[in-house]
Amino acid sequence: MNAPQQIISTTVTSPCTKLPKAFVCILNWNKGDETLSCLQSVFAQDYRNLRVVVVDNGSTDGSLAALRALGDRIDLITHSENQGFTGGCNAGMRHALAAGADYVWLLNNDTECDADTLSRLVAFAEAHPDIGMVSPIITDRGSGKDNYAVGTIDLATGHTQETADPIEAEALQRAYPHQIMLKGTALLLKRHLIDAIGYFDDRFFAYCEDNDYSMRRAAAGFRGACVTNARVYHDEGMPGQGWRKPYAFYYAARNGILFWRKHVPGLAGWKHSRWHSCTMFRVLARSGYGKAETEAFADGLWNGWRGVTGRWEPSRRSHHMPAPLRRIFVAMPALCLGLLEVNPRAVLRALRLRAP
Amino acid sequence: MARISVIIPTHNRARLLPRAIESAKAAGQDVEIIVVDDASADETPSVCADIPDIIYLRMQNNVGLARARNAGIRRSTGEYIAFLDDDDLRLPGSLDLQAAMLDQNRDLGFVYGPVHFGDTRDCVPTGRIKPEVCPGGDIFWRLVIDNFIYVASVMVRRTHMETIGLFAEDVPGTEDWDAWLRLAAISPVDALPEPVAIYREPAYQSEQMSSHRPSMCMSGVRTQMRALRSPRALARDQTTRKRLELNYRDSVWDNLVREGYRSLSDRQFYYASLNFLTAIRLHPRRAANVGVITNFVRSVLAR
Repeated sequence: MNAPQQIISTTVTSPCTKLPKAFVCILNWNKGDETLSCLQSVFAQDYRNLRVVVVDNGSTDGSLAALRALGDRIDLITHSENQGFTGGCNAGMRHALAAGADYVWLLNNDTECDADTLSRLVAFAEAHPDIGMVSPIITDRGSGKDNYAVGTIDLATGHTQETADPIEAEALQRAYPHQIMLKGTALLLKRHLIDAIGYFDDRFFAYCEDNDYSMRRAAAGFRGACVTNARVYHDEGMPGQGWRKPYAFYYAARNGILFWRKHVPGLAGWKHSRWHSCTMFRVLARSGYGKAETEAFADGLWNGWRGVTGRWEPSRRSHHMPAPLRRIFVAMPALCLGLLEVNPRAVLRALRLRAP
Repeated sequence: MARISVIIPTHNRARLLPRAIESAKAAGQDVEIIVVDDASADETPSVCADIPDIIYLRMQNNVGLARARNAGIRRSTGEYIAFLDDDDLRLPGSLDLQAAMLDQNRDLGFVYGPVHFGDTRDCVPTGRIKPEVCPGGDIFWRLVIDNFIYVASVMVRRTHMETIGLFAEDVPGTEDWDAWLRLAAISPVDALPEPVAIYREPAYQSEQMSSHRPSMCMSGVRTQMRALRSPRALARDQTTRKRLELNYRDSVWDNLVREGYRSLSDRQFYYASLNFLTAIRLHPRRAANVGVITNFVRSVLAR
C-alpha cells in the first residue's frame, strides 16, 4: 500500500509497531489477594508484547493455588523458602532474560497502574538509548498524593535528596544525571543494563538494594530517569498505625550500613552509613514503633557493623546485639539515636523528656 | 486477531455503556471491543466484568479522552479502528460498510459519515442529521474551517493512525479534530452517504465534557493554529491562512460571549466571567472594538 508521504509533528506518543518484548516480574509473598488485583491491572495494560512472570517466595497462605489457577497467562516460579526481594527478583529477571526479554519491569504486588503506564515507560526508554532504568511517579493509593519521583545520592559527600514533584524531578535529572536513584517499586530495566551490571546484590535481601543497583548503574555509565507522565499507585500505608513490621527496621538499619560501606571506602562510608540508618529509623518510626521494632533496629545496626548479610533470623542469638547494649537501646531509643547521629539537639530533647 | 477494533472510552456512565457496546457488536462482523474506563467511580468495572468478549482497560486517575483512546489503540489488534463514545450508538452494519470502503481504496486514511442526532435522555433519533454534506477526497482545507466530523462516525486505518502518532494529548476537547486534520493532511478520505451512528445531543450543563466551553475553545484555537502552521498549510498564501484563522476566532468569540450571557442570566458569575475573559484572550482585536464594549456595558446595565 502507499505509505503516507508526510508526517506532521505531534506531541510524543509511543510507537505501536515493533514493540520490544517486555516482562513484568511480580513477587508474591503471602499476600495473594493483593497480587491478584495487581495482576488484573497488568493484564489490562495496553502494551501488547507483554509476558508476566510471578515469583512465589515460599508463601504459606494458599496464594500459590490461586496463582496456579491462572494457568499459562503467567510464568510461575516457586521458591520453597523466602529468598527476599533480591532473590525473588533475580530469579524473575533470569527467567525473563532467558526467554528473550528486552525489558524487565519489576513491579511490587501492592500496586495498581494506569492502562498506559508500561507503554509510556517503554516509549521513553526506547527514545533515550543512554538510559538503563526508568520508573514512573509513585503515588499513594489511599490519598492519591505523589510520594516519590526520583532521588539523588552523592557518594562523594553523602548528601541525598528526593522529590515527588515532576518539575523538580526533571530538574534533578538534568543537574545530577549520574546520581539519580530510583525506587524498586515499579522499576523498568533494560536488557543492556542487566547484561552490563548483573542482578541485584543478594547480600541485601530486601530494602536498599535499589539504592545499590542505581549506584552500580551510574558507575557503568547508564542514566536513570523518572517518566513524569506515568504513574503507579502504591500502598504507602497510613502514618501512626504500626504497619511497619520489625523486619523493615532490621533491614533498613543493616542495609543502610552495607550500602555505604560497599560504595564509599574508609571512614566516610561509616559516617554516611550511621546517618543513613538513623534517618531510615526516623522515617519508619512515623508509622509507630514498639519494643520489637527497636530491638530489630538495634540488631540491624549491630549486624551491619559486623558485616552479617542475607536473611534476618530474629531468634538466632548470634544475630542479636549484645544484651546490655540492646537493653540500653530499647530503654532509650531517642537518646541513642541522638548520640549516634551526634545531634546535640536530639540528645537534649531526649534528656529533657526523661528528666521530670 | 479481529479485523475491526472499536475503542470506547468511558467515564461514569455505567447505565449507558452496555447499549453502546451492544450497538458496536451489532455494527459489524469480526469486531473487537476495547472499553477504556477512565477512572469511573460508579459500577462500571462490575458492569464490564459481566459483558463477555470485550477487553477492559482501566485508568486509575481521570486522564482525559485522548490518553484513554490512545491506550485503547495500542491494545487493539484490528487493521481498522473505529471510535465510539459511551453515550453514542453505532448503527447496525455500518462498520462493515466502512471497512469495505477502506478495503476497496487502499489510499484512504479514514472513512466517516453523517450521524443522527439523538435526544439527551435515551439517544432516540430526533430526525436531524449532521453533517448535511459529506465531502470526500482531499478535505484538509474544508476541515481547517471547523470540525464537522463526529468521532462516532469515523473508521481509520491503523497504519495511518500510527503514522500521525495517535491522538495529541495537549488539546483536551478537540483531540479528534486535531487527529482528523493531521490524517487529512497526509491522505484522502471518503464518506458514506447514509448515517452510521447516533450522536447523543449534549444537554446544557450536562455531565458531558463539551459543556465546559472556555477550555474547549482554547483547545480549538490551538488545534487550528497548529494545523495552519503545518507544512501542508504553509504551502498556501498567508492571506488565506489569516482569513481562515480570523473567521474561526470570530465564531469562537460569538460562541463564548453567548455562553457568557447565558450563564450570566443563570447567575453563574464565575463561569460567565471565565467565558468573557477567554473570549478577550482568544480574540483581543475584537475585544478592543468600542462597539463591543458599549454593547456589553449596556446589556449588563439592562439586567
